[in-house]
Amino acid sequence: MTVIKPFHLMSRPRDLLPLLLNLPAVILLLAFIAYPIGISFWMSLHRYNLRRPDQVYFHGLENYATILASSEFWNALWISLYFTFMAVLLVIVIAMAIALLLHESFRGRGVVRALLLIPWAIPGVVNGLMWVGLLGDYGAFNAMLEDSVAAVNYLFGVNIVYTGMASPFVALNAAIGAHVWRSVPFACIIFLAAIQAIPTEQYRAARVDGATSWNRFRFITLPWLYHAVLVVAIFETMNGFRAFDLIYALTGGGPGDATHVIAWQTYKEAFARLDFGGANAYSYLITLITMTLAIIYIRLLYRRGLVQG
Amino acid sequence: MTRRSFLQSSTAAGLGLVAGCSPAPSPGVIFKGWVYEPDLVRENLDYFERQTGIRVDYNAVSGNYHDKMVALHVGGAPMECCYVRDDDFAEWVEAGWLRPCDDLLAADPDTSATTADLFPYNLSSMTYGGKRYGLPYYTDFNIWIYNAPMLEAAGFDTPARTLDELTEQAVKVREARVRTPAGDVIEYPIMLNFRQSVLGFLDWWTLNYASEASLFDDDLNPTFPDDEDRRAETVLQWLTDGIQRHRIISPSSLTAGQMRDHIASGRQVYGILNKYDLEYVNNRQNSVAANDALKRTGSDAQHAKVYRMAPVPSISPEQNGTLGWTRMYCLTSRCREDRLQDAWELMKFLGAKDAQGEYYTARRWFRLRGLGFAYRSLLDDPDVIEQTEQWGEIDKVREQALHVRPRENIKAPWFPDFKIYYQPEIQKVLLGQQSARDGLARIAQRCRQLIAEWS
Repeated sequence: MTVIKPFHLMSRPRDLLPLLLNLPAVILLLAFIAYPIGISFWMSLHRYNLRRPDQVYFHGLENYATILASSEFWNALWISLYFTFMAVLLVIVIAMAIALLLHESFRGRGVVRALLLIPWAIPGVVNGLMWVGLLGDYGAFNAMLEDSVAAVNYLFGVNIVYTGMASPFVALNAAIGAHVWRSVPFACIIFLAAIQAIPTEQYRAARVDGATSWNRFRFITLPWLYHAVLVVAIFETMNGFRAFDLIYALTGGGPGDATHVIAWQTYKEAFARLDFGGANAYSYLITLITMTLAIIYIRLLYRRGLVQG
Repeated sequence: MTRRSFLQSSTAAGLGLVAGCSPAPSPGVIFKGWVYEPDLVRENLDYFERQTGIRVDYNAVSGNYHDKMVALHVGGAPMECCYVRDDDFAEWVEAGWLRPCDDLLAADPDTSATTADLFPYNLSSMTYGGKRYGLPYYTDFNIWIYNAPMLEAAGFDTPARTLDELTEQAVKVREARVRTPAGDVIEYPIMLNFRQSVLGFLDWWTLNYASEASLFDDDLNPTFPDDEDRRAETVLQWLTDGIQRHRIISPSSLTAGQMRDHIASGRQVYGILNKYDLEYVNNRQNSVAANDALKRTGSDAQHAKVYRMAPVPSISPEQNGTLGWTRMYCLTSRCREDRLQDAWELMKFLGAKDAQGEYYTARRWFRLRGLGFAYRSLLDDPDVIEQTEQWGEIDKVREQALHVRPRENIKAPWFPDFKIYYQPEIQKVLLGQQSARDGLARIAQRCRQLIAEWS
C-alpha cells in the first residue's frame, strides 16, 4: 500500500526551489497572457464604449446577443468561412506540391528553399501594400487580367467589363491569393520536415510491388503527412479567421462589404465605433469558432485513425 | 562568472531598464500630431521657442492617427495639446479627452477677436455643446477640377455646369479619344474617391452639397431618401449610371486612394480635389500633366494652370455648394495645470496669431504647402493672392468659399457608427447591388436606429 505523505513547503525546501525558479516565468505568463485574456472576457460582458465613459456597466451576455442578432456578423462570418476554407485548401495543396518538389534532389535546391521563405518574412501590411501595387490601376497583375479579359472579349465576341479590384469577386479572391502567397512557405516547411521523416524502405517496397507514382503518393506519402496536414489546417484556420492587416491594406473592407471578414468587423467595433465591449465579444466569438473548427479537424482525423495521439 | 553574480547582474540590469522606462515628467509642453511635414512643424516650433522661451516636446504619431491617439488617451499618456480632425472631434469630446478653451479665450481678447475672422463652418466645427475647444490648424474645401487642354482637345471651352451636361460632355470627351501625356487613350474621363476609409467618401457629400441637398434636419434626423426634390437619390443615381451605364466614371473610384496622384499623372479629365491640392497637380515637380504642358510651351515656370477649378456640377445650374472640413489644435483634458498657459501660448501661435500679431503659422503653411486657412482676412492678403494666382484663380476660391458646409451630422455622437455603415451601402449602390433609393433608405433606417440607441 502506498502512503501519500502530506506536502509541507517548509519541511521540504528542495521542493520549493523548482517552484521559485519557475515563478518569474509564471508571473510573466499571468501578467501578459492570463490577465489580458481574463480582462478581455470581463470587458466583453460590459457595455463599454469609450465615447460614453460615464456609462460603463455590466450587462451580461448582451454584447454577444447583439452581435449574434446582427446581419453584419453573419455576413462577416460567411465571408470569413469562405476566405478560410479557400485559404486552407490552397495553402495545403500548393505547399504540399512545393514540398514534394523540394524534397527531390536538384541543383540549387538549397537556394530555392531559402528563397521560399521570403514571403513568410514579409509583414502582413507590407504584403498588402505590395499586392495593392500589383493589383492596382497601374499594376502588372491588373494589366494582365485586363488584357486577358480583352482577349476573351475579342475571341468570343462577348462584352465582359473588367473592373479590377472594384469587382467584389476579384477583390475577395485577390485577398485570398495574397494571403495564400504569404502562408505557403510556413506550411511548406512543415510538409518538408514530415516528408523527410518517411522511411525510404516503404517506397522501395512499393516500387518492388509495382506501385505507380500516384499510388506511392496516395498510400505512403499522404498518410504520413496527415499529422502535418492537421497542424497546417489548424494554423491556417486560425490565420484565416484572424486575417486583418492584409484586408486593411489591400481592400479597406470593400468594395461594398465583399471583404468584411470577421477580424475586420472586430477592428471596426474597437477602433471605429470605440465599442470595446462589443469588440471583445467579437474576439471571443472568433476564438470560439476557431477552437470549434480545430476540434472538428482533430476529431475527424483521429476518428479515422489517421493521426496517432 | 558564477551563478550568483550572474543573477545579481541580471537583476540590476532589469531594474535599470525599468527605471529607464519610467516616464519622467516633461519640462515642456507635450504636443502630438499626425505625420505631415514633421520637419516643417519642428521649424515652426523652433521659431515659437525662440519667440517665447517655452519648450515644446513635439511628437509626430505615425500610422493610423485616430487609433493610436485613442490608445494614448485611454492609456492616460501625458499630453498638453494635439491635432484633432473634425471627424473625431465630437467623439473625443464625448469621451472626455479634450478641454474647452472658452475660459482662456475670455481672458485673451486678442485671440478672442480672431474668432470673428473665422469662416463660419470652421468655427462651427470647433464648437461642441456650446463650448469652444480648438483653434484652426488648417482647413479646406473640395473643388471640382477639369483638365483644360484635354477639354479643349475634345472641343469644349468650358466645363459642364450640371450633372446632365457633365454626362453628355464626358461621353463626348471619351469618344474624342483624348490622350494622356503618356499617349494612352483616356477610357474614363472622371475619377472620384469612393474608397472605404476613415477619411473617405467626402466626394459623396461634395456632390450632394453642390446640389444644395440637406441630408439631415436640425435634430439630425435623416431627410433622405425623401429630401427636397429627392436630390440625394438623384445624385446617387447619377453616380451609379456614370459607372454602370455611361461608363464615364472609372470603377477604380471604389478602390483608389490619393486622388491627387491620379490627377497629377494626367489620366483624368475631371475630378474632385482638396482645394490646396490644386497647387500640387499644377506643379511640374509633382505633376506629369503640368510638366508636359510647360515643356510644350518651352516655359521654365514652376506651375501651369492645366487643371482649373469650377463649381461642382449640380442638378440645377443655380445650385452651388461644396464640403469643407477643419483640422484643429485642441487642449487635452490631461493638460497639466502648470503647463496650461504655455500650452495656450503654443495653441495661439499655431492656430491664431504669434507674438507679433501675425497669422504666422497659417501663412507659412499656405506659402510652403498651399494649405487652406480658416481666417477670411487672409484671402485679401497680397502674398496669398499672388501665390494663388500662380496655380489657381483667387476669385473662384473666394466665390466657392462662400458656399462651404461641414457634414451636417459630423457632431452627432453616433457619427463614427454612421461612417462605417454608409460607406459600404453607398458602394453597393455604385456596384449595382441595390438601387439608390433602397441604399439611401437603409442608411436612413440605420441613422434612426443609432439616434434611438444614443438618445
